[in-house]
Amino acid sequence: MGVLAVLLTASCGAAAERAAQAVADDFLHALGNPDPTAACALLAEQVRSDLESASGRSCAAALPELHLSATPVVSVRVWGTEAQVRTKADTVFLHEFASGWRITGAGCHDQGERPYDCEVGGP
Amino acid sequence: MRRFLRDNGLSVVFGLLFLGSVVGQAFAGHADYVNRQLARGGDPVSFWAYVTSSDFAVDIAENWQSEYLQFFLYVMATVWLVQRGSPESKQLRRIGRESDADQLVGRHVTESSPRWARTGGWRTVLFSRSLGLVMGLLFLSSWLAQSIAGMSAFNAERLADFTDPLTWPQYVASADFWNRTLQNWQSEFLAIGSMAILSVYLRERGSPESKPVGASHTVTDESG
Repeated sequence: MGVLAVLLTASCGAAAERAAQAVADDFLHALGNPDPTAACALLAEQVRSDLESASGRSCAAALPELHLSATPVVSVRVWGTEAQVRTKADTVFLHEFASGWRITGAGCHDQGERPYDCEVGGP
Repeated sequence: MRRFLRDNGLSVVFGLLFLGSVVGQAFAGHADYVNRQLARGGDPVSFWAYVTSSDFAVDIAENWQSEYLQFFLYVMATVWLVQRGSPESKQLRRIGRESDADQLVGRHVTESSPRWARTGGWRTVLFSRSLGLVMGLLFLSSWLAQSIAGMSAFNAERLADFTDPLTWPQYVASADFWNRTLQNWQSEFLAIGSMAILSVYLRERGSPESKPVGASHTVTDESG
């Protein structure tokens, strides 16, 4: 039973890691574009809505001012419907919705035992 | 068919109760899981996605391991430990592995003894320990499954809370793993201890788990 659990976890994990990393890659690439609309589309709805409420502007106008780093991905970890993608500069968190993986936290920095501190989304 | 059901009533009824309970747990667990997903701003997950998830697996495995531990310990402990007056205990003079005559092995095998009891050598040694070994292996494999599924479910929660996931060694040393483990163990130990003591003084007419109603409180190893 233990072996079965390992095999199931491993086989489901590899495909999910590829899918989560693809969304993180697209998001990081879109951050470099003059128009970050594509990056905004990859944010979870609640995160986008919170960003717009806090800034009083559209996501596409508010996102560039946060100066998020778009550095290469160095590791991906997926557990269930949650993912953590580390880049050379910081960390991105994702959740798998019915519509696919979406960013729940970006520009996140490790705070030790406490939750990461994120520029966009986060705790 | 009727005769089969009468001869196998215990295993059939408990098999059906097990299946009914697992199905019930799956539906209740799915509803609870969906509620938690929605509360975090996520989408509902399908029933199939839930019953193949680590959340369902850890809830199943943590109960299985404690039940198999209970029976493993009971099988092993009752070789060496007794409880005066309890039908769950053997007589005080029989403490230990007992003689070949008591156990019907060696020169004392009978025509109806199982083949591995009659063969002698390693087969008889293994057969003599087979119940404890199988219960022990079922306990260890269920506990291992709990640790793997538990780590997966716990790490999903940690990521949803924007904290780092744990490795397996970190998880088996974590409060979550031991809280899940010990909350099941304590209830099993309480149930075993209660049964050993209560069966000294209380009776259930017709049950082999009880002494005969009229048997003395000091009589050990007798069922009615």
